[in-house]
Amino acid sequence: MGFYTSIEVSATGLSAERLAMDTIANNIANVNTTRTPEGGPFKRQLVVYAQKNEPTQASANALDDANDPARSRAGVDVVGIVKDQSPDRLVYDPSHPDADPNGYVHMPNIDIVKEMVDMMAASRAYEANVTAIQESRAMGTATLGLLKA
Amino acid sequence: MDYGSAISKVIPGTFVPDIGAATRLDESPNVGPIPGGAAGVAGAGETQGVSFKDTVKSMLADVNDKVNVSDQAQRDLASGKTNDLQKVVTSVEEANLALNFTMAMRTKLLDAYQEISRMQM
Amino acid sequence: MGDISFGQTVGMLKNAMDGAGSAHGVIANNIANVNTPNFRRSDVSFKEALAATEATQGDPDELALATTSDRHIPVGGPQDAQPFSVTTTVSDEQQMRVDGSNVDVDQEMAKLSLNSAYAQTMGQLLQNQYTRLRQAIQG
Repeated sequence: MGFYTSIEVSATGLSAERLAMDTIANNIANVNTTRTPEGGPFKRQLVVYAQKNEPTQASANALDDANDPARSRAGVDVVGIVKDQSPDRLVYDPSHPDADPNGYVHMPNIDIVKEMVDMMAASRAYEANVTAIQESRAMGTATLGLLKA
Repeated sequence: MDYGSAISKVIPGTFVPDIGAATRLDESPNVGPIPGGAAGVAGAGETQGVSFKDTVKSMLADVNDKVNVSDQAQRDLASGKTNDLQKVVTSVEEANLALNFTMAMRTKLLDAYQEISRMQM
Repeated sequence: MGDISFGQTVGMLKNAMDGAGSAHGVIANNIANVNTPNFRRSDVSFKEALAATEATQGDPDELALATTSDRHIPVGGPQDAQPFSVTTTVSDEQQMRVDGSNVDVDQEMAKLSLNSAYAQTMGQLLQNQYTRLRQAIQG
């Protein structure tokens, strides 16, 4: 696989991780949101990743494509942002304007600690993709170095 | 000096068998026709072996082939028809080396030719 | 004949570097406008135009369509070289952000890296062509 195509693959990873970061940041910002347009409290959102099936360009070696029916070199795609359907967090506070008849307030099912961990994971994955691009560039430069000497 | 081995060094692929026997005309009772090659001083092209001219022509044709292949590979890389950087770089290096090799061979062959043509006979 | 075609390859590599230079400008503009509301990013393509500058011999087993007018589309057979040109198109695709801009900064950075690698490669190959010519001249 030429180094040009692997940069595009890493770029799909960068986009996916950035979208994950945006989603996590949204979750953290809405940790106390009890009113949403659909009614009910804010529900935690998570990102669904899927492997991309068609690479944007053919591999350098046509045989590689023929031997790779799963197209394992195309990158990642975010196929959707779905709501986490686990039950709401119930907090007892009868004075809250959104308390239900029993005095419980339905709070979003967001655990800040878990969101922080997810954020670190997304950030590390982003850095790893950046490193992959830099390594691709270094390999290309080394190959071109053959012509210099 | 040993004439036969000097010629076979200059013209690759030519082997003049036993020319030492052919030069000892006064000693040998059976003087037959000189086995092919003695009349062909380097460059005349009439020997039975591969001549200077054909060798140089075939090497130039090989270099031309390699340069054309490498140029086509570079054009394909530029227009995006291929993504294989390694193949392009190795073909460029091979074309460069073939050209350098041919030029070095040409220089050495010319030097050897001039040296032989300066020899007193 | 056995012509060493220095001319065509050197010309094509020079055009490739020009194309990469134009592409760099467009991508840099996209990146600079990453926070501009309602910005539409531009795409640039020059590799197809570069491929068209190469005059082809055509497939010997293929018959070319006869063309009697300038407006007929030539299919098959040998193609003449077309002059090189860079095409820039404005992209209207999705990925709308809240501020209405459709720039994805990661994709633009990756394109920048790709384009820069491509320009570096073309430059190196061009330098090699010139060195080879110089060697042949100096003997």
